[in-house]
Amino acid sequence: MLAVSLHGLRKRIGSVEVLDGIDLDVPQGSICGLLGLNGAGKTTLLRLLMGFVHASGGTGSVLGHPLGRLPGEARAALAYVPEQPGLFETLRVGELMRFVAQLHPRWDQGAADGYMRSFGLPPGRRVRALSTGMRSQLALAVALACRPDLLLLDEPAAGLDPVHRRRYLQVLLEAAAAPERTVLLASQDLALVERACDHLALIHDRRIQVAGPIGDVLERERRLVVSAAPEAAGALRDLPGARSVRAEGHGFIVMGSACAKDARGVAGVTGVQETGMSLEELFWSYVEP
Amino acid sequence: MWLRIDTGSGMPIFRQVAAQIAQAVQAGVLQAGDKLPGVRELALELAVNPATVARAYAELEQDGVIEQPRGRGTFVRGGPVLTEEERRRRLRAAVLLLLSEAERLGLTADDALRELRGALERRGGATGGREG
Repeated sequence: MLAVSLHGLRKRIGSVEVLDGIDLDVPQGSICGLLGLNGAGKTTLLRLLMGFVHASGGTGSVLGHPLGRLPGEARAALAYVPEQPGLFETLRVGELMRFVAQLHPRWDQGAADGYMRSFGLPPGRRVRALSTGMRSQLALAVALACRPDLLLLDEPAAGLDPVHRRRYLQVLLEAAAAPERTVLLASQDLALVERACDHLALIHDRRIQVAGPIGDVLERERRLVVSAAPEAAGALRDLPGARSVRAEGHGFIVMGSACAKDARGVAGVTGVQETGMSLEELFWSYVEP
Repeated sequence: MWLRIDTGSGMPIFRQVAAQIAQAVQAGVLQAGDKLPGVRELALELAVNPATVARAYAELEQDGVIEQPRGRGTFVRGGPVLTEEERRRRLRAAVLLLLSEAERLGLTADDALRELRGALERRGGATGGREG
């Protein structure tokens, strides 16, 4: 089953086409990392899924309901943590928890207490007096205590120190293990995405450029170091699967799913070395080929 | 556990986990019958996605390095871990790598062969296969 399924989704804001034909399937139970540069439309996409803004075109479904027309109980199964979560600054941590508990139909007090303990959040501390790390952890704890079926996180764990970050990840991973729970997290943090996610989707140039199980995507992608005469450039660019061909020293770096065997067959090529591609290289090969 | 995760290395995390466990078995750090942590437990400890650990375990099971009897946990397997065919396939891949490295260095296949013989002599000359 798919927690999110989008087909040709478009969003225009003013005169700017922010998203233009987004196709994305996020399987239920997965943790999907949404990668993209600043301004690529990650936040807009999350806000579309939440129903905060409406699509300009295309279709989609969220938790089995048509996008933007979720019934109340399905909306309660969505949780969204923005990059700068608006928390009630003057409340104490415990008061904030009690406040949300009264408002939210799916609130789980036992789980909330557990997250507070895991993060070591002081119930008596005022929200405005919390450190950056604790604020992020509090926002995650509140979202998770609402037992979401779909959790949307915008730049989670940004600015956290290694200790807070690790704890954050562990709590998120443990909570995400619930089989019906899906997490979609938008992030620039490639290391976090590689660790936390089992799926990824890369958004660039208003579309999803690549998506799928993270291990499969990385295995499929190769980085070829090709020693060749400059004339080989054209033929290398024409190799099936070659996405980016960059002149480097006395040869080229070819990124994509092109295979070394094909590259060896190109006239002027004298040697090919093949390695896997890191997530960072994959990212660059799409955003700056 | 002593596993190291290196994001950005160009090797998917599931491969890193599988390779390090296989190495530990080869080195005798892990031995037949040793129990490995469960998928969830190891994922939390490494702070990585459980599906990643599950995939590493699945690969190791397929390679015969570990076994996962239903509901009883994950154990290091004893005995020969790969089929004859698979061992030969991997050896051929390693030989190809050796030859392409020789080529890259401007040396010939004969040079590679000479180095291989030299390495065997230095090691004490066992040229026979595993069985004899």
